[in-house]
Amino acid sequence: MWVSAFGKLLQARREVCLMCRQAADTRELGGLCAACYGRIPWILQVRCRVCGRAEACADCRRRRGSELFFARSRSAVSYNEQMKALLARYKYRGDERLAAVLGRMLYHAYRLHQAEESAEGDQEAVRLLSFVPVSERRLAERGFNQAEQMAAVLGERAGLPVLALLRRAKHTDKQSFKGRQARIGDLHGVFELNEQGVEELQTRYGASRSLVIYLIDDVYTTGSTMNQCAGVLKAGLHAVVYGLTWAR
Amino acid sequence: MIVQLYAVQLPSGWSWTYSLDVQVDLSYRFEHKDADAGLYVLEPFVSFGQAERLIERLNAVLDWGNRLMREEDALGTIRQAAKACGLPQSKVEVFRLMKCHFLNHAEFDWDPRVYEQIVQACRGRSLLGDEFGLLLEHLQLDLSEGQRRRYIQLGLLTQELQLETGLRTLRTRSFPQLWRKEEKRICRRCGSSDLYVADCMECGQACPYCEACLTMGRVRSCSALLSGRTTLASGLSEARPPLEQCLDGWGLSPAQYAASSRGLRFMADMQHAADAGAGSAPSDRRFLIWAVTGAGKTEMIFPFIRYAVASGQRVLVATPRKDVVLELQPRIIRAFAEYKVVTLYGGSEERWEQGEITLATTHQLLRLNAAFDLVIIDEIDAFPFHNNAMLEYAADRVRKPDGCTVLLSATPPRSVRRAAERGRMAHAKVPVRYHRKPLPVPTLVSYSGLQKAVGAGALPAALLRRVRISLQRGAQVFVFVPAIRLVDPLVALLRNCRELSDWAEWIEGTSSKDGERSEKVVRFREKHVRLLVTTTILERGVTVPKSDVFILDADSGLFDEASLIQMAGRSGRSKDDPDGVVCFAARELTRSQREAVRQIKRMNRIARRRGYLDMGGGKV
Repeated sequence: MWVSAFGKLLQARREVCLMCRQAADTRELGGLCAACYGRIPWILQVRCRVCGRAEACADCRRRRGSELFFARSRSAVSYNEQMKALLARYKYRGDERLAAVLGRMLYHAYRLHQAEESAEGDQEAVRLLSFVPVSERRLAERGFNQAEQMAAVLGERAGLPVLALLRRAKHTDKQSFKGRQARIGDLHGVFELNEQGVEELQTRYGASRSLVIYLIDDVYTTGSTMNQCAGVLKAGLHAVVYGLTWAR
Repeated sequence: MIVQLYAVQLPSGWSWTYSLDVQVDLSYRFEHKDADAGLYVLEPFVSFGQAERLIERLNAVLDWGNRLMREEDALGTIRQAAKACGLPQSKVEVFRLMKCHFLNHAEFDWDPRVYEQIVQACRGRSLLGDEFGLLLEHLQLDLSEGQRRRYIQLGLLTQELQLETGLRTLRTRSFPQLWRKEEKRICRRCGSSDLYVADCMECGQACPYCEACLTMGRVRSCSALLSGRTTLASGLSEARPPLEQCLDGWGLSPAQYAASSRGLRFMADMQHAADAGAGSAPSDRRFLIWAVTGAGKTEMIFPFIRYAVASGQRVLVATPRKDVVLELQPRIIRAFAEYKVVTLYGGSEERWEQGEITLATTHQLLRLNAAFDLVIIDEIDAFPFHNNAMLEYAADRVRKPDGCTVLLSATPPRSVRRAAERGRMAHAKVPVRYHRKPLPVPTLVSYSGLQKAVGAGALPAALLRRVRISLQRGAQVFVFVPAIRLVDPLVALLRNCRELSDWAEWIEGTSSKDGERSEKVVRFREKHVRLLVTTTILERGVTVPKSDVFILDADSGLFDEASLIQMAGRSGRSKDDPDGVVCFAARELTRSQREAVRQIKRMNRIARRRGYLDMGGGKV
């Protein structure tokens, strides 16, 4: 017993990489071991100025006709198989420890925005974070909203307030089971302003201030979710909306 | 899962309990003339975990009769208890009591056939909410959320179904405050205490979930695990078959026969005791078969299965690897054609089937509960979970309280070995392989280590000579190294060796990170590859007829005694080539190597003493 107690004392200092679960020194890399950190497909060169993709983007070229409500979107990583698996572990298996990892990774996307903003920014504007809401049913099923959790982590890191400005008006089927066209048509009228969040916004900052809202979501696929949400925010508030997602 | 608390007057006085749907309770209790005084229902719903804690506290309070007469008084007591249980203030504030009379209850419209189907299907399982949903889908029952809750509630009242909270609270003493008992929560499915606390919507506050078995669905403190009641083995009426009849016809060698027969006698004794109503502790209900590598473990379990199924019992055979399950399946089906065999593994199609014999990977044990009279666990030391404690926990949980467990291993973990040797665990040793030749004893070769050899670009001549001799005699050569990063450099080194130049194209390497691993193993088996450099990933399960084993850096901390024995066990398995070569190459002789050699020699000695060895070959 004494031996095991002593062992416990020694073990307290050992940490486990949140991605691969191997014991490693994880202090400097936000909970990851060097090997896992090295494999993160960061988006370092933004090729599409609109959606922040690292490759040339057919989606954004195709969209040209219809209106875009967000100024631009930036993502932290490319959505490869490994990142897909990581998100699935978090979202579907419920490994909530990963919220901290993914949230911290978002900071990279935030920095990508900042790098472009300094030239154009309205310094008077209130800057804040909001997130794409999930339906009540999904929330009950999953137990949490991944975008909300990631926003909370980023908010702390970047020193920005997080407000729930949107909510879902009706339940839609999972996006991941749908094709591109179905997704775009289906989302109309799904999101609306969340009065509670807006009220809080106004009591904090007054009704007339202009806003810069970073809208957070886990993955940017076609951009339709982002666009619908941005449209609702722009229609109801005096705001510029930037998309900020973990993966693209 | 959220539930509603209520108080009901039983003959013994007022008692608190919970319900998934109070209407079912009203209707059931009305019919059974329970509690004419009605129910006091607590609004709003609380989480299942909170309910369990709160009920325990409320039932410790006496004199509910008087309290409930004055509602404010009762509410005050409830609020106090809820706060002591750590429920969030926001919930405690809005507590209300409602009196429900039996006269105005709504009749619950249920179909007895559907109910029976559900109870049957839940038997022996342990299901999370969404797993229950999948089960209903399988049964093609289209029930609304409300109907599901009502059927489950009915099952709880009749005690044919059972709900357990996801986590269990243990009260233990631990360092440094040994004088104080502290509460420790463990996962009810896997027994782990690796919990992570996260906000929970149902609790309205943070609540822990188990991280250790997350891949099998998330178990929270407020999750409910649903199971159906099973009948005990002692309740089975079938006659027990004579033991000899179970042992014959499998072609067992004398050593196998002796071990199986001891195990069977143990099982029969346990059952007689259980029939007589005298049970023993769960840890005493285990039998260990300690069989050397290549002893033919599979054949030895057939007598146990036959005995159990002939007695009308249910049997589980669990093994850590899916490929072993799939390999075992046709053999079991052939041997027990008259019984239904169910095979469970991740993604298996028979997930919801039930039968007399179940083959499963050890992970699947988590979804089962008190389902089997006989549990056979293959390779107890190769459990994929963090430690053996988890397997022990899961294995005890899937066995009925009066059932038996048979453990099989070539390298039992130290704790089990010690228990066996000190007489605390019933066991039988099978010290000889089925071909009745002794195990090859490892030869020790000293060299300066792989790191240096790779750096210098040369392996010691003594080692290469041995490898060369093995290749020349036509053997397949396994070369084990302790780390994946050593595989490729060593393959390059061996291919460039002058001594092995004849075989340069026949040398390959593989590891867990190699996408072509299974193809390479097949080519090795088919002799298209003659020398395979690998890691402990191939220490078990791969049987290649005529093969020799070289373990480089055998002094590495990554090779423990068990893995050394397992790796050595790859050699000399076939009866056409029973005298394989095993070589440990290392800088120094470690305790693990010494123990491995000692254990191999000891088994050979026991085999010789018991006369199991076949001396016909002229080799001693």
